[in-house]
Amino acid sequence: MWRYLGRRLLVSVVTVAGIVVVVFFIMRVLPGDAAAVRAGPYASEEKLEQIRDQFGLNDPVPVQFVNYVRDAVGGDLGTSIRTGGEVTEELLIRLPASLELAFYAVLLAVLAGVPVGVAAAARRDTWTDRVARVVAVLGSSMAFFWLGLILTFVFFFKLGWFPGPVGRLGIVTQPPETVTGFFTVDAALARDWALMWEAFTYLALPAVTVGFVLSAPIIKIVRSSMIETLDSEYVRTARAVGVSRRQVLFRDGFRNALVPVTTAIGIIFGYMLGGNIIVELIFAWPGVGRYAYEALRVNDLEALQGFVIVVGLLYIVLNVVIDFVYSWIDPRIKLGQKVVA
Amino acid sequence: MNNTRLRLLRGKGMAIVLALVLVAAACGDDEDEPAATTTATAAAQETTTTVPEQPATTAAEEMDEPEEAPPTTEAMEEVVEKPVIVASLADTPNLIELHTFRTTSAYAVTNAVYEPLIKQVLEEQPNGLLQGSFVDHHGAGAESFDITETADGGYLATFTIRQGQTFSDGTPVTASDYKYVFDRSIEGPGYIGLLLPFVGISSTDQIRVTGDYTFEVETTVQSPLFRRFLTFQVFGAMNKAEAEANATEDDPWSFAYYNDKGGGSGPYWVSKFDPDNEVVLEPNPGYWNADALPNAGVIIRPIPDANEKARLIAAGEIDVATGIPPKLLAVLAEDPNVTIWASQTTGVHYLAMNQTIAPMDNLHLRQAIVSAVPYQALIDNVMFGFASPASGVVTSNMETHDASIGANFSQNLDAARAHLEASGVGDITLVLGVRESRLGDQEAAVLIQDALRQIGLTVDVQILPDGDFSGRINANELPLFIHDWFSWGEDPFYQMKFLTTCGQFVNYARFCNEAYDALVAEGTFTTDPAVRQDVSSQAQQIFLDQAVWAPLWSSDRTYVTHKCVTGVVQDYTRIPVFTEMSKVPGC
Repeated sequence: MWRYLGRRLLVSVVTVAGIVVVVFFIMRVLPGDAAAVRAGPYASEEKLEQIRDQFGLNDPVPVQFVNYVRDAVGGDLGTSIRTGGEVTEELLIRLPASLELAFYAVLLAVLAGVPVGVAAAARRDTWTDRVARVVAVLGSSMAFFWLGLILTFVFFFKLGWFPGPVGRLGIVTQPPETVTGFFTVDAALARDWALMWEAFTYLALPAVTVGFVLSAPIIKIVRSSMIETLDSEYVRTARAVGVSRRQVLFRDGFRNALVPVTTAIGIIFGYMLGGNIIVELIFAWPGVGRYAYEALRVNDLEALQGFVIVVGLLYIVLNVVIDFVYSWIDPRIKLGQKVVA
Repeated sequence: MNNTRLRLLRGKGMAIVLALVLVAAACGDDEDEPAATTTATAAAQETTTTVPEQPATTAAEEMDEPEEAPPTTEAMEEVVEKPVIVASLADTPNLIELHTFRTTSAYAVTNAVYEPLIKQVLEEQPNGLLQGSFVDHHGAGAESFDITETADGGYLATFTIRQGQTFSDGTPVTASDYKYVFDRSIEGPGYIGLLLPFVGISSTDQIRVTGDYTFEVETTVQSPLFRRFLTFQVFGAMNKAEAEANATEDDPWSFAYYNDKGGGSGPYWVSKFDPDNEVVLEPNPGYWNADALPNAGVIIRPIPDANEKARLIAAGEIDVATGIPPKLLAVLAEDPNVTIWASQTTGVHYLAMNQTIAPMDNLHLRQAIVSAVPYQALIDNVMFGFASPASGVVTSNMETHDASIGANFSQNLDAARAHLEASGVGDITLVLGVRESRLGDQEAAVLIQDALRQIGLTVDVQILPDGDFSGRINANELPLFIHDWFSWGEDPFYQMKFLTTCGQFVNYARFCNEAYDALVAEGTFTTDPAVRQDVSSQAQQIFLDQAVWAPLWSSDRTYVTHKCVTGVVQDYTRIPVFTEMSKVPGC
């Protein structure tokens, strides 16, 4: 395993270097003048030059690149031209909000998608299966923004069951002391159950919005994997020798279907790591997606670069975790060893 | 067998991890300790006090001694709790450095934190709006002031600073703090220094401290804008000691330090600055008029989606919002729980034609476009009536506007076709650039595109990211684009000077006319109203004749509040003001 981790670390370093190079040069070819946005309407050419000098935009691109890499290695992702703040710090402040939303959204998607997918496969071509397929199609075809707006309109504005889309907590509520950055967890650690409940109520609508849409691919993958497994010869043999339907379904069918499902969940979670810009905008969620959106609008290059690099790093970590999960689900998979058929 | 053991071990491992998590949760703060979470009310309601209800300052009140009338016994008995105001403004505050250009909501924060020397007297309108007077001003940071003409043709303004007022950290405010802010404006790297020559200030020597609490400002010209400039937040006292303590060799004026901190002596201080999430303003106990503040603080929450913001207002979750698109305003106007405070302004939205780019150097083509634009349709269908005709660079609500000239900015497709024929321009496609963040501009572009199609011009509307848009107009790469402007101080010559005289960096149409410039220069430093009107009219005629822009509309300044909110102010700057804002008790 240590050999695997070492090799994985080396590959990760190369991957991160690749991300840095690609992102840096793509940002340089984006049209626009961040200095003009920062300077505002009273932007004399002298003032623009002053801002470009201050943020190193007048240096040759290779010099900018070398400076950027040198600072990035030390954890300094530069200064945001929009806010004047340190990008690393600003991303770290916002990252927990995006991660918490992603975590609960994926959890909801899994909790809803896996049982529905299993039930659909177990009762193929019955009304259960048909309902599951309709839900999957609805989820796949539904836009985040539309669902988000409908949910807030119905459950906040009309029924008043959930709070309005004003962020992670009520307007007059102070957040818990930061331990993990997840308000639900930090509130629990502080044994402030009322605050934890409040954090959950504010999470509910955005998490359901994302979770419903994300449950669609999980339903589809679980259903098809289960059907494939249940149609396999070893399952038929097991049934023929009298193994119960429940045992076959969960011990053989579900266990074998978990590997592709894990892959799907990993991809979905990785996608969510970058923050869901639309959902964060609708629910005023102060995450990295909204930060990146604001940066993109005004050509805040360093903020954008930092965002992409941090998300890339998280994705790499996530992939390593998924590899471990594979080996846990299927003991035949040995980390760092070639699979012998 | 081995696999079974492995599974058992994994199961045990999971159980241990779960148990540890539960234990960790159980070992949180001791119950006897104060909870880490306090409510907002923490910040705001802990400071909430019960005080006699006080009306907003109006013109009828004594200006320099607003606290002179002690509350009566009856008033003492009738006490109300000061509310916390929750606001969601047009955009996200990005930074709060006083002399750096920033977003509108960031200006609202600094407006609440820095106290200028003088302020406009507020006059209550029939609809309850508190309108700043264009004529009368009262002392703010300055207890008294006097402005006299000098023999050299300038002004000498002397100020006596109020004693007893402090910055939020308790440091007393002195004349040196006001000189510091002027010096910083003139010599610092911010943009304010570019504006000061407009009132005849270009050297720190013109700002002289004459005592601990007295100082004077001498200008080289007599500009009608001088008093108005003195009301701007950018000349509010800065804590000189704090600024100097945080200065560095690279940043001698502490610009970086103040990116996320307030250093003023105004009614509020910034207790939390989390730009994309929340900004909390708490009352500054050392503010000279602290007792008169009708609220216990302000919480600013950026709500990016305008539809959600509208719902939150209607539901009473937020008290005041700006940046609601006109289409939604029209819907909200029907809601009995919402009040829309709309007032006309002197700002301008305009279709600029860059004269350095062919074919926009063709006068007849520009005149064709000016005649084809559907001005009233834009006000009706894009602004939903929340605007008035701009009718020129000196807009219809601005002093010295000449209505007889402005009337020519109306749609006349026959005239437009005649101008187009005279232009000799063949079959061309014009690029019309609009900003991605401006939905109204995008809608206007479509209507303009349709109108120009009717006279035979093809327009390609390009929606550009704001950064790209700014880069292109600075680099003269957009022949046609929609832009907007609002002049703090609302002076016609200031507006003409910046937007339409030769070489000005915000003269994006690159219009240059010597006669026009001479007229603007003459009017800028003239105080005689008759002369100002005459030269302004002449300049407006040149602007029309040269078809510099198509002035599209003057948008209303709109606040949307919950029905219980009172004390909405409109001053020279269109920046939200919180100092008079409150809620009707029991509403």
